[in-house]
Formats: sequence, C-alpha cells, structure tokens
Amino acid sequence: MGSGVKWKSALLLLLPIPALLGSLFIGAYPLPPEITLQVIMAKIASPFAQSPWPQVYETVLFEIRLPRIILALIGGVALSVSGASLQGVFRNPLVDSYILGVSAGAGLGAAIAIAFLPSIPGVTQVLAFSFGFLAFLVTYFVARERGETPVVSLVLAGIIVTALFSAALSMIKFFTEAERLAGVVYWLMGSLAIAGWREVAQTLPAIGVAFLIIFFMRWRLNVLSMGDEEAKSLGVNIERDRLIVLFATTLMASSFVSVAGIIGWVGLVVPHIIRMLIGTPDNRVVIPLSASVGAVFLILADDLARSVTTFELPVGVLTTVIGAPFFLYLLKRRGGGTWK
Amino acid sequence: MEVVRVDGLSFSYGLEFRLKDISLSVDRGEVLVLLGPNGCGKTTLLKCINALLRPERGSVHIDGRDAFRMERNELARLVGYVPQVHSPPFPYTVMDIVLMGRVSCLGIFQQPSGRDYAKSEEALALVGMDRLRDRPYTQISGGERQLVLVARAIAQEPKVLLLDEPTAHLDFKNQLMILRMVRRVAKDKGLGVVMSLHDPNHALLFSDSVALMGHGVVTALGRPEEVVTAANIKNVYGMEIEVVDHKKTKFVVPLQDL
Amino acid sequence: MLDDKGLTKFRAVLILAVLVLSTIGASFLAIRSTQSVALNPTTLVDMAGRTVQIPSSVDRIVVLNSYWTEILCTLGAADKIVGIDKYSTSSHYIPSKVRNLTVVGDLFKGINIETVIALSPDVVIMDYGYGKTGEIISALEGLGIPVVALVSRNFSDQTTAIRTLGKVLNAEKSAGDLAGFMDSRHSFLLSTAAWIPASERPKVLICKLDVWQERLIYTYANSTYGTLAEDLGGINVALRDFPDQSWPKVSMEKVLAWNPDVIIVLGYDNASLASQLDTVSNSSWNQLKAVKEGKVYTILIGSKVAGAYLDWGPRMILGEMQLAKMIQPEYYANLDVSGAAQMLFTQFYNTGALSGS
Repeated sequence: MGSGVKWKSALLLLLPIPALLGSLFIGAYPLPPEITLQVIMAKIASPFAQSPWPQVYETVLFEIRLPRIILALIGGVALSVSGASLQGVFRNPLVDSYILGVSAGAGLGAAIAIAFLPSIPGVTQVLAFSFGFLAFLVTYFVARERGETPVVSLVLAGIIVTALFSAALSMIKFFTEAERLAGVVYWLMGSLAIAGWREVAQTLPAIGVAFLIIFFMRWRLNVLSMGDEEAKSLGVNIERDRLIVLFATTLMASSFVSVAGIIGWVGLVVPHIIRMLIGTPDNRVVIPLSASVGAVFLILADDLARSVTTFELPVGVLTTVIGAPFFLYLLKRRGGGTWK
Repeated sequence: MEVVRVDGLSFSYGLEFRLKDISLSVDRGEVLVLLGPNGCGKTTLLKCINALLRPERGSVHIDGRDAFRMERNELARLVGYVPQVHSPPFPYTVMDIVLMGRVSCLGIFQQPSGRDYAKSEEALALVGMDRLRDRPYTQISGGERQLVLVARAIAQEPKVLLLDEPTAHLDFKNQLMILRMVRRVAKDKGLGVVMSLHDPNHALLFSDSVALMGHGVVTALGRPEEVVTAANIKNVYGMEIEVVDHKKTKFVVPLQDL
Repeated sequence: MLDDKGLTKFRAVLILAVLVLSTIGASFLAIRSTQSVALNPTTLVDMAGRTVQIPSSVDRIVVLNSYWTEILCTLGAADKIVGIDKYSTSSHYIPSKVRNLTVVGDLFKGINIETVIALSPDVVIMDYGYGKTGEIISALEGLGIPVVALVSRNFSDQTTAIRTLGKVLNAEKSAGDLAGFMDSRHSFLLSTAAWIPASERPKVLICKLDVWQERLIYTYANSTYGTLAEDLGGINVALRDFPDQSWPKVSMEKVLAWNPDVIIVLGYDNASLASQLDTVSNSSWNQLKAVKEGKVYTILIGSKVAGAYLDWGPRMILGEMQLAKMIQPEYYANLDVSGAAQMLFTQFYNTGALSGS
C-alpha cells in the first residue's frame, strides 16, 4: 500500500467525526450556531451537569438531532458494508444490499404490520426484520441443492423471492384502506425521521456484531470473490464462510431497514466510490472505508432530507436521486461498467 | 517417496463414465503429465485429485492421507492447484492474488501477517514475478498471470502441484518458460507435479512420466519416451506420427497427408 | 392508484362489459331508455357542472362514496340504494341494512362496472376529480347510466351536495332543512371568529402521530381541517409555514420550533387516540407549551365509531363545533356540541342513539 493510499484512507476514516459534529448544527429548530457550539462544548466537558440553557436546546440537540445522526451513521455502515461484502461474495460490483430479497421481505412485513396490526407498538419493526430475514432464508434454501449453494442459484432465487414478496406486498397494498396505505407508502420510501435513542438501541447491537464479523473476515472476502472452485482449492470452506457472510449482511440490512424503511443505492454506490478513490479492490481497505464513507454519505443525505425544506423529505428517495445519476457517471467513466 | 496415489478411480456424470478405473502415483520431485485429446478426462481427473469432484469408486491419497477425509484447509496445505488463466471480477494486485495462497494457514477471522507476506514475496521471486508485485493482476499478460498463479500455489507450501493446461492461451516462448519453471520448482522444492498438457512434444521435453489418456482411461503410463510412441499416439488421437531424434532429444512429427 | 396494470385490467373489463351488453342486453337497454323517456326525465346540473338527465322518479341508486350514502340515508332514501362502495360498509352512521348491500368497489382502486350494470341503477352518485373517477364516469355514461358527480373540498360543498341530492330524490324540502341546520351554525362559527383579535388567536397544530411511526408527524396545513383551524380563530402553524402543502410531514424538531399553544390530535378510533396521547405524554413533547398547559385535545374523525363527527357529510358541522371549542374555549363557551348532535341525529338520522358517547 503506497503512502498516498494510507493518507487518503486515514482521512476517509476520520471523515464521520466532522460529519457528525457538523450535522448537529443543521435542523428546523432555530438554534444559533454559536449557542449550539456552546451547548455541545458544555455537554462534552461535563455530560451530566445541569445546563444553564433552556431545556429545549438540549432536547433538540441530544434527543432529536444526535440520535438521528447516529442512526444515519449506523445505517450508512450497515448498508454500504453489506453491499461491499455481497459484491465480493457474488463476484459482481453491481450487487447491492438487497440482492437476497431482504428489502422485499421487510417491505411485506412492514406492510402487514401497518395495515393489519397498527395498534401493537413495535410490531412494524419486528415484522419487517423477521420478514427480511425470512426472505433471505427462503432465497438461501431455494438456491441450495445437494449441500451446495452456487452463486448463480442464489441470484436467481433472490430474484424469484423478491418478485413473490413484492407481489404479496402489492396485494396487501390493494386491500389496505387509504389512510393506512399512506403509512405503508411512507415506510417504503425510507426515512430517518423516526430516529430516537430507542431505534439506535434496537439496531446497534445486531449491526455492531455483524459488522465485526465482516470486519474480521474482510481479507477472506477477497478469496471468496475468486469463485467457488478456486476458493475451495485455496483451502476455504466455501459453504460455511459464505453462509456466515450472507447471514451477517442480512442481519445488518434487515435490522436497519426494519426501523428506517427501504433506503436504496447506498450499498451499491459507496463501495464503488471507495474502489475508485483508493484504487484497490482489496476488501481489507474497502470494508473499513465503506463503513466510514457510507456513514458520511447517509449522514449528509439525511442532512439534506431535513434541511432542504423544513418539512421531511424521505431520505430513501434522496439517496436514489443522488445515487442513481452518480452511478451512471461512474459507469460511463469506467466504460460500460467493466473493471479493467 | 510417493506424494500422490490414485487407486481404481472411476467418475461419472449421470450414466456416462468420464473416468474409468484410473490408478497412478507421483513421487517427490516427479513431474507427471496427463496427455490426451480434448474431453478425455484430464481436467476431471485433476479435480478428483484435488477433491473438488467426488469419484464413484476408488481413492486418492495425498502424502499418505485420504484426500476426501480432509478439511479443505488441510488439503490446501498439501495440494496447490493452478487453474487456467482467468480474469477475476476485481482488479486485485499481483501481491493480493499470491497472498490468497496463504488462506489455508489462517483462521477464519485472521488477516495475513508479515510471515504470510514473506512467504508470498518468496514465491513471487521464485517465478521471477516480484517486479510486478504491485501491478493489477488484470493488467498483466497471460504468461505473467499464469506464473503468478503458480507463485500463489507455491505460497501454499504444498507437497503437490496440480496444473490444468498451464500452456493454454500462452505464446510459444511463454509456454516453454512456464514449463521450464514448473520443472525447476518441482526439483528444487521436491514437489510432486501433475499437469495436463496438449502437446506431446512438451511432455517429452518436460516430464518425468506421462499418463496417456483416451476416453477416460489411462492407455499408457510410464517414462515419456516409452509412452509417446507412434502406436500409442495413433491409439488415442487416431493419427499417424513419427518420433524422431534430434540432438539426443525425441520429437513428435506428424506425418504428411493428414 | 392508477397504475398501468389496473388500467389495462379495467379496459379489459370495460370491453367485456360492452360486448356483453351489445350482444345480450341490446333489447334490454332499448326497453329501459324508452321507459325513462316515457317517465318525463328531470334535468339537473351536478357539481361538476354537467347537465344530467335522470328519471323523474329515482328508485334504484348506486352510490360510490360513504358520505353521499350517509346523506342519501338522512334524506330518507335508504330503501332506494341498491349498491354501495367499500367504505360505506364500515360507517357507523349508515343503517346496517344499507351497509350489507352489494359492494361494487371503491373510487381509489376501481369498481366492477358489470356489477353496477347488473344492479340496473337509475342513477349513480359519486365523487369526481381524482383517482379513477374520470374513467368510471365516462364508462357509465357510455352505457347510458346517468351519473350525478359531486365533490367534497370544504364545508359549503357539503350543503351544495345535500341540495343536489334533494333534487335527485325529489326531497328538496328535507334537503333544505338539513342544509339550513348546518349553514346557520357554520355562519355563527365564522362570524364569531371574525371578531377575535389577532393577539388572542392561539398557535394551533393539528396532527396525526400514527401514520407510520410517531416521530414522523403528519400535519394538516392547506387542507380542509387545516384551514378550518384558521377560520375558527386559530393560527395554524403548519399552514403558515407550508401554505401550498396539504399534509406536510415534519420532525419533532419542527414541532419544538413551532411550540404551539394548542395541539389537536386526530384519529379514526379511540385506540388510535389513546396510543397517540401516550406518545405525547412522554419524551420531548412535554417541553411544548401546549402539553405543559394541558391543551392537548383529541378529535375522532371519519365514520367508524360513535362520537366521530369531523368528516364529510352532515356531521361535519358537529366536528367544526368541537374544533372551535378547543381553539377558542371562551369565545365559543356557549356552544353545545352534544345538544346539536342530539338534534341532528333525532331530526335527520331518525335516531338519537347515534350521538353515542
């Protein structure tokens, strides 16, 4: 690794810190920047001291903005790291976090909850997560034959499962009353407006554990990306290792999707940006940098979502609006999407 | 000392036999060439030896141990497999590729250490590719890639090397270079080598023994000049040749009117 | 709502319907049209400005919106309704015998034209101006079924619709009485509010907290209930900030920045209201002035449960009175909502029991 790469990497790894702090200054409540700065400094200096500020300042900064920024950070990590890992496993840089049907499954689970069980608290999260995971399991076992799950079968099974769950989702949308339908539609757009410390606590453990698994397997992802037969002859227990990676990525994606809805394109675009900036596909570099840049990407996208207008824009729509054209630009620059 | 032993091995896809009752063995430092026309089962046999395919009958022993009763990482520490030149989906550097040869020595959550780098550097130097270590593997020539894959197999520190048509897609000079390299490495490191080849002349030049295959059967097995004869070649290829001597080396010359 | 698939399906159904009609039902149609002519049709202009000819005596009605069903019933036409939309089946304010009639679909997701034809209605009553209404109206007209198109955008649309339906039913007298009952109270509310000085107008937030998740706050700005808050003597903070949006979605931070004096939470049933109040009672909400001063109110909307008034149809006036008392309790101290409800239900719904809780 050249020293240029090391510098760039160090810089990118530190980027979430200014992004996080800077985002504390953005929001609908009119807090002057100098006051914001003082409140933050005071909080850092003595976190539990009684503050001289109106309580609402602290509420805005530490009960509304901070958990939301942290949830964006967690989500950015979850989506881009799962995207990068799946791109390795599927040996294809065009794969995203949802290739195994997680988004369609989670969408169906959330729709069932919002449409039929609206009065039970937390049921949306639980069903979205379970159905996201269920979709993955169905995909995996449909693809599995005689103890093997070839990549091509996984891709096909993912397409089939996504189609089936999406059809079921359309069916539920059709049978849902207009007022509940609105809830389903907003959920599918994805938003971080729901963020509170509760959501952070719900997602952090699972995503944290899954991230650590991937982080420590990051070099092994290089070997997995060489293909089943080659990885096997190099000494990899391909079925076991792939299952662990798929499990971890699904855990990350469905945990986050279950609280924030479907936020697309992060998992596809971020690893690409990293490979281009750093000039290496080595997952030992790509995974940690995808985590930090993914976090920054989602934090900034959400800053836009809550500051372009003073009402809430769905951040899932924004990431698509930013991600899709950017991706097109990358493809054109790269010449037809091939890696030369 | 025997490092590869194949006994009565048969393999079939569905009803069709691909390999039938194959037995052979390779000693340390010996290069065995599998020679035969396309579709005769050379690649299938290599995959069976590497336990990628499970035969119907028969056994494969590597260094005295049953290949099918070992974990993949145990086997990979004994057998280095060199596939045909390919292009991976991501532009890893040459060093990244060679380093992958170390995966069998590392735990699932372990990253390669200085020791693994040292082994990889050594293997790259051995095949003369150390000058390319930081180049993207996807941007070097076919011959260079093949050598890098050999280096990766050597980085596994195996006792056996398996090579699947290492000369395919290479030009004339690179073909000779890689075969010379394989032979030298086999002698220096005392590896048993099994490789499949197309050209009988290569077999005559670079092997210690030859297994001539046709329709999934070994039709002749022994020292190169005993196996590569006009009669044996006619038997599997169905063509007339003549073996000629030139400066004490034997060459296969196809007869005219073919 | 109006996707390609639905459209294609709908067209297929339409073509099928036309085929069925032209082959089997041609003679039947002919008989029907001569009947209509023979009975000397009434001509009226509906709310879309269309001139419609309907039989002078309407005996079979298909109605495609629950609020028009409710009005038809208050005008004594419950027995004439032969087909309803899906939403009419869940209204507490529609007699059960009407709720159990044939459902032909709904205007958001489409209706089954063949079912409508099979009911051979003299007239179809429905909304216009959104979703699939345009296609449905032209399809029905194409089949020779008269359509009276109505619309609900504000309070005055309600009384206009009541009077129009009075004409359809030859019940102009009772329609006039009902519209009068509503109009007089509505103008009282507005004229009272007109006297209230700007300094005494509280900042009002009308919202729903259970659309998806309580932190995505669904507010009423430039919408019927949103503008009502201003008409009844309040300052609608959402409307002031987002004058060209109907239901902007905002975060808690925005609500803290507004710091409203009065919060009015809407919900379709009591469970929804209870869970929303639960949200308001904890976390960051308690820093709002309205919460500290106990000025968080709930209103049932729609027609699902007893006590739900804020909705299209005659009950809307009761809902307006509820809102008025929450926004300006002193100016509207003498308003008697339950008395008015009792009167409305006994006089026009033929049962006082409906006023419920």
